[in-house]
Amino acid sequence: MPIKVAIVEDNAQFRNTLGKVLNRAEGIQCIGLYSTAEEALEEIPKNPPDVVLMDINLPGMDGVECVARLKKLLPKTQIVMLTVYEDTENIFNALKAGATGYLLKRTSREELLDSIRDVYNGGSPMTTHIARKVVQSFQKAESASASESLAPREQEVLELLAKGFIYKEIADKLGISYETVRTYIRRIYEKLQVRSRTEAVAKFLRSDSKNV
Amino acid sequence: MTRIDKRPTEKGSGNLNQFKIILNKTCCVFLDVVLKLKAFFYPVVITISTALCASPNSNLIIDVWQTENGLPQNSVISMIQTKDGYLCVGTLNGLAKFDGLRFTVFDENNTPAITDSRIVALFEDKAGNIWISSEASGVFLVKSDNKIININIGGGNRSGRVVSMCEDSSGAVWLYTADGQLCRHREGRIDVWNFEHGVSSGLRLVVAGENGEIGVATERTFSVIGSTAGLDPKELPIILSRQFRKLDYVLPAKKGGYWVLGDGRIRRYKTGNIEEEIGGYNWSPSFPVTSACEDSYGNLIVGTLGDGVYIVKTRSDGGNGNGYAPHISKENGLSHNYVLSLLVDKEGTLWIGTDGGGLNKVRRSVFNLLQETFGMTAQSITESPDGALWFGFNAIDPTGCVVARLFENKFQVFNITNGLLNSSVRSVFWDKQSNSLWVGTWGGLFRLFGSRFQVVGGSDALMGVIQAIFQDKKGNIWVGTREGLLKYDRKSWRMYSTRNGLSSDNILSINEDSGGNLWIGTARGGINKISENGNIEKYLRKDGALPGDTVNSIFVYEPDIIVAATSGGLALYSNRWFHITAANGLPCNNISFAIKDKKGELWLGSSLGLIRIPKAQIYDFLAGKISSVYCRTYGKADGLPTGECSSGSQPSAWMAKDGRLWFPTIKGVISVYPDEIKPNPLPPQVAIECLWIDGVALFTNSISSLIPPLVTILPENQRLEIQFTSLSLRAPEQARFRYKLEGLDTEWNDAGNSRLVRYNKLQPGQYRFIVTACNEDGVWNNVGAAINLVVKPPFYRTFWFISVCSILILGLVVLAVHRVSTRKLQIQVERLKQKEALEKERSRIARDLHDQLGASLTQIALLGELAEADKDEPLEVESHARQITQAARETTKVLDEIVWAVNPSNDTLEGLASYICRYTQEYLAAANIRFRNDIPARLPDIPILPEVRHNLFLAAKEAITNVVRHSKAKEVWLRLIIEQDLLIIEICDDGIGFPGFEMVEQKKRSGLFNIRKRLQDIGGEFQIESQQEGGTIVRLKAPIKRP
Repeated sequence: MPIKVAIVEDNAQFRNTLGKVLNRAEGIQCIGLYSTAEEALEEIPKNPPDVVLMDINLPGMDGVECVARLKKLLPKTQIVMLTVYEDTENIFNALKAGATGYLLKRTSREELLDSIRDVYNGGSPMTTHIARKVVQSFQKAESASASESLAPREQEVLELLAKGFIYKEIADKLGISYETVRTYIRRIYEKLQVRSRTEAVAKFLRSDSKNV
Repeated sequence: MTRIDKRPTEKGSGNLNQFKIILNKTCCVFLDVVLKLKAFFYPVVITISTALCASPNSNLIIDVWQTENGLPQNSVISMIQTKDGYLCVGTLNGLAKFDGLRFTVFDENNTPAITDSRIVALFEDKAGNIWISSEASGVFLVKSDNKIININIGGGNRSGRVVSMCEDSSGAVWLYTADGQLCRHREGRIDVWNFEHGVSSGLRLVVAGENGEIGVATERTFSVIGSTAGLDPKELPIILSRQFRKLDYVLPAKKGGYWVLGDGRIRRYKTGNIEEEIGGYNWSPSFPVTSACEDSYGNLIVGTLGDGVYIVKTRSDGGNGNGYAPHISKENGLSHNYVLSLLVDKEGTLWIGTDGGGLNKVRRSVFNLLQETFGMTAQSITESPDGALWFGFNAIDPTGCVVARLFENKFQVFNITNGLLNSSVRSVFWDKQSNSLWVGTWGGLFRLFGSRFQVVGGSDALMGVIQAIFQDKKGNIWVGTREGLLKYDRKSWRMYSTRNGLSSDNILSINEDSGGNLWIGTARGGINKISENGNIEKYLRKDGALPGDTVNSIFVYEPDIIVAATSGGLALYSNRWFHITAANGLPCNNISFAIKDKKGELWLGSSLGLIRIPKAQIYDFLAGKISSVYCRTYGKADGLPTGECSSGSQPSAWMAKDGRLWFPTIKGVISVYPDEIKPNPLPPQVAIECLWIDGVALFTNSISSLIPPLVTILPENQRLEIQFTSLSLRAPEQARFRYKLEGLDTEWNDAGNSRLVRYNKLQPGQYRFIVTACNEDGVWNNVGAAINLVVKPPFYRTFWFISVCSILILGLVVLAVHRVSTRKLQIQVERLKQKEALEKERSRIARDLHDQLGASLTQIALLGELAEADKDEPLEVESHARQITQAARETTKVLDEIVWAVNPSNDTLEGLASYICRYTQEYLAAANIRFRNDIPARLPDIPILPEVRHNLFLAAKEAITNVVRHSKAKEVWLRLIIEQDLLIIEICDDGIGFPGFEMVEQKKRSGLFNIRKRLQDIGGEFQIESQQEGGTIVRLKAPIKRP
């Protein structure tokens, strides 16, 4: 079964090229090309892909919002953000909204394909600067239910990541397997998403009580 | 002041000791002008009794001042009126200046230069020097500058005192002592002659004649000494010497020569002969003559020791002009019959100084009280064609004088015995048509037939209160009652009341104008004007027509001017209504009647006296030329028995055919011949007497009135008071003042009769205070008196202070302006700098875009072309394609950097740290070097300027590039440290380090130089050092601004 990938990208040339690249790759099939978030939200659920490559800057609804909605419709689909610049803030927002990783558009073909495969296989790419952001986010923790706060090991992994350690190094340093590191990171992502949803609920409740 | 008001009575000297005591301290004049009391100054008067007099031309009003009124002693030995208008009296207790109201006493105590307070003679020379002869210390000469010098003439003992002084026409002052030394004082030199020295004489007089002559009199001799001007004679040139058995007095005659009272005869001597023989003494020669003077009518006024004052007519035309009784003594009010001194002042008022009775002022009253009516409330006056006057009284005794007839000095009384059943008469009226008298009373209307009164019936209202009787031109009788207006057309009575449209039933006054309109004045209902066709026009206070709604009297002043006397003032109708009230000249508002005399002057009755308003004043007022009316009020001070005129009757005041005015008062009937009223034509002299600053006298009244040229008031002084006076001695209480402080006031302020003005806290500056006064007849002094004042500014308003302050303020302003403009300039510079930085940034971006992207893209294009050209050689194509891919990727990276550098959302420390961290990680990953970072989890939210950010990034990039190229490191640490205002980026590796700074500097000149340069550009610092344990540390330090 090839990995079914959908692309949401407003630049037609890049979208088509990327489609071609994916289709040529082994074990990957591009099943949809969409130019807007609205189109993607309408079409993607009809034929759910395994991985969605989502541009951040889209006309109309932006990629972050699209991630949030798509993730609700298709919780199992992994979404990887595509971005020209390492726009930390937007990337982080997308991660909070439910994206599992991000890729720079200038990434080489091999790297791109590797990342898709990795994500599909339960991997969660997280770079140092994103890790910093995540650390900050968890430090801000207001409420700390178990499902929302990080376990000590997760915390450790995250901090090492923020210090520039790569997965392999972390695994070595902590005496755990590479896979475990990946799992931790995936969990960190999930908790991040939960947190962001909780935050939203809390915000909603707050605003609600304010209105009442 | 005790005022003794006496008239000769028919009974002789019955009530001589009855006084009117006027409770008036002269200090009452210190009314505060600031309060602007409009009220006339009028003393409170308690009358015990007053004697009566019916004969005209003999009514004297004598005011007396004694020690309790401020006179230093009751023996007034000598009197002069000084040039400045004061009356100066000499007593044995000092000298006193008198302005008609108040005495200022000068004695040894307050005027130490006068060492003897026993003043025996006074004289003022033409230069204004006052000569004061003391009993035993010689003569004190008070110069016009107030310097007092003692002239040793007649000093030493009483017998040598100077008793008489005069100034001859050459300007030499002659002094004659009691022991017969005749002294001449000329230009400071004194010549003394013994003249009749050693002769015992109670009389020693020296008087000035014409042509430099002087007359010298003793008891036995009258001598005339010819002019001594220019001579220095040892022997006096005696040109006349007459012997008398008893010479009583000598005074210069106004028509030339000398009046000589001697041997019982009054004669005028001129050029040695008897020019005129007046006749014998009017008084018994046993009374010594102590003084004499001549008034402006040519009467000789002679004071005797023991028999008062005699007035001797010297004019052949018979009149004595001054209206005085020929003899003034205790019998007609003089305080004492022992007369010591006499003076007729500039206004013609006679002053009599007595020995023990103080000072007397003698005036004649033009008002006559009808003696028989004294004490009775007269209500109404009318005249029958035969010239008889009829009076109606509000009588208490029905058998007393209820109605009276005065005909040829016969006073005939009517009362209940004549059938007049009601004794409260309100109205007497002579009906010319039936030739009979109508009498309206409190209870019924009566007519007199023969000597019997008959009740008039015909209407119920006629049984009530009759208040007014009037006859119109057609002969109808109109009667005003409390129930309405009644008209009698000789056949029947007709009643008009509110039912007929009148505003009130209480009718007080009735009159008819030239147009045949009836004017009906009512109580509280204004005026009803009834035209011939019966239309009623109402004039009321609420409409602004009248000042008061109770109309006591309506008087046709001129065919086109109606005068209404109301409870709220005087109303004049001349096409429209005009009001004269207390606000514009009247002494009070409640006017009871109005009448005019033959000259057209308007006389009003009020509760404060009779009021006379000159005709011109009325016309000027109606024409709008004046807003306030001058009126003369006559009260007790003018000889009236009371100030209160009766009201509520018509007719009330009456003008008899001879022009004599008759007025009803609550104390009798008074009359006046208006022609006898001679207004005082002299404008009063005005003097500023005292000035106080904060209650401290700056200068006070001195013997010779002297005002300092300039009074300086200090800034801390609060209160300034100025006392002034008018020197109209005739009726000083009627003087009015107005003042102006030039520099503060533009208009005159009316001070009323107040003689004090007070100012509080005058602003600094120059002022001139001017005050002027008018006499009792409204004649103003056009010049007045003035004093210059300077209020010094407080130190903070002085020139230097203001100057210094001004300069300071100016300096501050300049400084402020400078700072503002500098600030502006700074902002401008800042803006320019920013602009410049922006432009620099923009040009850098443009350069980067061009140099880096442009070159790469050109390279890609070139490679594309090569690929195309080498399309047949697959290896070449592949190589070109790889290169294209690489170039494109690099271009994207470069672009990424440029965009990062440009994007303002990265202008934070976090943005910088994040980017450097990411770049380093990526770069080191490619080089297979481990990357570690030590960046605080949370960075402060510090903004970093794009330039700083860019330079720091490039420096860091360069440093990392160096590490990768040269260090052979396996691990690189990126640390970010914030020390106060310093951001430190440490890049440290575990490589080989570098041999020495110099070498590095030599070899890697451009790389390190670039880093250093970049940090210098942003005000930072660059450090590079090898570590002991190996490796290198690069420190990039940049200043940051914490928010």
